[in-house]
Amino acid sequence: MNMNELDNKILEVMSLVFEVPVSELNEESSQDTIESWDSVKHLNLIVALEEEFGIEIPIDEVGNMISFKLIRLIVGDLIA
Amino acid sequence: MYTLKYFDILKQNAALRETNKDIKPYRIKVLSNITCNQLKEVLSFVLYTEHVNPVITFGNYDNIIQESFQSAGEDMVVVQYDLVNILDKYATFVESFDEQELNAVQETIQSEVDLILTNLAGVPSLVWNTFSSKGVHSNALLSPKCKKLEASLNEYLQSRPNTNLNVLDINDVIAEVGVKAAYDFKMYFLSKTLYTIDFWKAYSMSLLPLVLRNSGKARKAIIFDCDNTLWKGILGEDGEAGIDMSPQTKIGKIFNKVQQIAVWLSRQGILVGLCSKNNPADVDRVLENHDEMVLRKDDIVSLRINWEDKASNLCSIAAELNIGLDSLVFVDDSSFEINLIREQLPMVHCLQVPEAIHDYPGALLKTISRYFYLTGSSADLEKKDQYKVQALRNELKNKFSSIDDYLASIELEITVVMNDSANIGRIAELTQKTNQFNLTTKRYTEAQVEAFMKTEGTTVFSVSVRDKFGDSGLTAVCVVEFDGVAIVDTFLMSCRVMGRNIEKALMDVVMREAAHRGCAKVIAKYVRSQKNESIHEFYDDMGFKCIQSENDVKVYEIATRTYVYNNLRYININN
Repeated sequence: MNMNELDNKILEVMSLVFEVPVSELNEESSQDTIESWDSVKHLNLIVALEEEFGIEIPIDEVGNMISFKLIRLIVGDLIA
Repeated sequence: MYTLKYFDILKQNAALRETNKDIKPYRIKVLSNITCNQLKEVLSFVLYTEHVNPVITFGNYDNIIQESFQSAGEDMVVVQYDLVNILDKYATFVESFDEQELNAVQETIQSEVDLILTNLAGVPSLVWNTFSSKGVHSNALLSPKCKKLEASLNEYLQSRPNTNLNVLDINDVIAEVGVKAAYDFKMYFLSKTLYTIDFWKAYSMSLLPLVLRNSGKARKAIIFDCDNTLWKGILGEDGEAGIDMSPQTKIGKIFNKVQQIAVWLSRQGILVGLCSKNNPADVDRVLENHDEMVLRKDDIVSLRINWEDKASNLCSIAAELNIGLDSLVFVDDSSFEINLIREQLPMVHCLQVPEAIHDYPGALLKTISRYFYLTGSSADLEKKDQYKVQALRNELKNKFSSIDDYLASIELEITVVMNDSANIGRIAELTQKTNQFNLTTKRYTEAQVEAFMKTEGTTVFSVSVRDKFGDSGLTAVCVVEFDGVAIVDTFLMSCRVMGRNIEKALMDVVMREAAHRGCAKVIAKYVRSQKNESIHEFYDDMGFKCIQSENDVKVYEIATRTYVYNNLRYININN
């Protein structure tokens, strides 16, 4: 998976989980910019990412994935 | 559905929500002591596909009793009171419990069950998932205590007379998925999310028939083809002697079993019909005379044995029985016939006889358990009467008429500490995480909390809550500046302890402190956020007067001497 595909896939997952159009998401999207990103949706995000990428996100990383960039970093490492 | 990922389900739901939006909503509320939010999208998907338009909401986490007081307007309430999290509240591992402790736990839960059932008596349909010990790792023992507890609680639950109660056995669901795939302990330790998406998929399928029944969409009739569906072989070619449904032959016994199931269904009040391309006289002879037939004419309500197309035949069966096509299940071995019906009559549920014929009875039973709602035998109806006598006895026991009586019974105790420097971390965390019961939603770092504590005149109140079931820990915070007048900067409470009137007791503490320090009035604010709508009248309820209301901010004040103390007799305050 190249960088672009990875980005798009993550954005698509975020869009569905947070119920925000992809067009409103970008590199800077984070818990601060997405109003609907609460603790429950956060769990849904983790589950959706794990299934989508076939990865298991370690327990101590779950709380760190609070922005698009951090998600990309952590998911990127796990699929590498 | 089982192959769909959570991501795909979300995607499909976005479209299905639109398609189903004109269907009358079916309201389901889930009360649970674990996080089961992921049930929402999975169950919605399953129900959307069956043309139900669900509105699924969740009570506050671990607040089943309090929430059960307020479930008016729901079509269905689902209770998931999970044994895993119940037992985690105790400081001792369940297997170390002695007889007395085990009985105490059991009695506590039983009285909670009664209270919840009483409170939910007005809900049209109540689903209680059984207590399961599968997630309590102690199966190595010969006779684990958690299993004994599980068994006695479920027996108690099942013997409740409440007519709206449906007990759903989640061990069946766990067995279907497998223990390893059903639990997600990472998510459990992080956020009390105990079950996986796979579990919720299987669970949703188990809940389906009840929802279909309640919304008038349960199937009413099952229509079988004959050749290679009720018996092995083709009557027109192999002749009466050549077809096989014998309990003695390898393949015949599979069809024999299918016929047994069909007979059972007809005795359960399900309409059984036949639709087959054959000579009517041939099939008639088999039904009347063939020694090995189990299904007989008496069991069958409608027959279409002819050479016309099956879509027309199913329409005419539905018309004859005066039921909708969406009440039919159709079973046939031919891909041609199945595809024809799927295309022309998509509302008919089709089951194609599996290629691997040994899977046929299992597949049939699975279809039955999803699409039909079976009420049980007449023996069950008799039992219902015995239950009613039991009901009268129980009504006198364990019944609390109000939430106050209930709260009084749980020995609530709060400890209020001022400027507790040992807990700065937890206090800061609460300001950062609390959304629902948070009057001003101000987020503070540890350094800021520490600064408040060091500022002359500013006090950080922190509240720990416990009751007879256990300790909820530090769960409420209030920051007040006492400077001539008292100004409430922050007032928040974790949703874990909502519904116990802790906030009223804390307000009393703050007001007492204001009076003690000679503050003539107390000023407070409500700042509306996306999440705190439910408490917008908190200060009004506490007797404060709104002196200014602009955009999303309301400013309140009260003269300290006019405050009416709540003085809740059931909350013991230590400070």
